[in-house]
Amino acid sequence: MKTSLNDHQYILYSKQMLLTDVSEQGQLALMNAEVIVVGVGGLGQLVAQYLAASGVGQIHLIDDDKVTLSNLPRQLLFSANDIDVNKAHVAAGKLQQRNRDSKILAHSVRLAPENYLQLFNAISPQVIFDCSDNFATRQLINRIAVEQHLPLFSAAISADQGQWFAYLPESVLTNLSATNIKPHGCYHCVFPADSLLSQNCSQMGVLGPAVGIMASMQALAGMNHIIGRQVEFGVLHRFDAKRLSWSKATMPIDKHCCVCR
Amino acid sequence: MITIHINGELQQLADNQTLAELLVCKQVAPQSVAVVVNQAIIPRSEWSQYQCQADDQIEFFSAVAGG
Ligand SMILES: [Zn+2]
Repeated sequence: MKTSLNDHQYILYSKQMLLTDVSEQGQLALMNAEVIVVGVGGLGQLVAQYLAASGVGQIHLIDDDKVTLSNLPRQLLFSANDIDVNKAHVAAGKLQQRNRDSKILAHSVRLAPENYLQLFNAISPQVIFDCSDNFATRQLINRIAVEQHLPLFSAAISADQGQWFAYLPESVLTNLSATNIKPHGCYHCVFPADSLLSQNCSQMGVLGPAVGIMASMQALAGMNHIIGRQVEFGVLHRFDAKRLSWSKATMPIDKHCCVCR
Repeated sequence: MITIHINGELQQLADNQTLAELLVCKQVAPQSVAVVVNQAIIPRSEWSQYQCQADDQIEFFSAVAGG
């Protein structure tokens, strides 16, 4: 565990530490944090860049996909030379080179009910970022957050509709004393597993900056949490990328939820 | 009759109508949406108990899962 910064790090992270409620303490919290980013596509490649550049200590990148030509307009970490190479490996390689304070670990697997326990037995993240690109994986990540007692920072976008939320499992909530966070519903409370999506997202278009906005929100919320700032958990934020407008709604508990109840 | 707002548009509704009945009448497949009433999501399991009130701001929207 790091307890102090060297001279280089003081200058490197000075703009973050100038925020009075971040200071050296918040920077050390980032540098001692271990996080997992599931999905290294449009959302995940940007979340990973922000986390690594801010000095987050250990970042696990999970993705079994390869870089394709049509990824390049919005997945700015990748270039034409990376096509057909695994995204987690490409991202980890590039981020490790640029960010010496972070340890970036690539896991080129598709997170699945059969393999997630093996992964989570080997690592001990304190935060999980859902940057995945399909509904089944989102349900699984939500279940993992509940089971593994992990704060979840989740974002999604298809076409011009973005959604993001932060979720804190009740098991974590009850361990946090002096908190004013109320128990709230999980992803499954809002969208049960048998929900039908209006569109198949792999066939939907999207503009790069719209993905970037959603990724920035989830990265910022996650960093705020790690730093020790108050985060609004249990609120679903929706973004209309055409009108550039936001709306939000609270996520109450579904008393019949089979995941978090 | 009462007046409610659905996705920003005014709608006349019979008294005592539930969210579940409203979805049927709007021909919205229940599994395809989340429902927000006055800035709070109402879990699907409660739609048949929630009775729409005058001036309720109701929104339906689908999950998006891309990334
Ligand atoms: Zn739940």
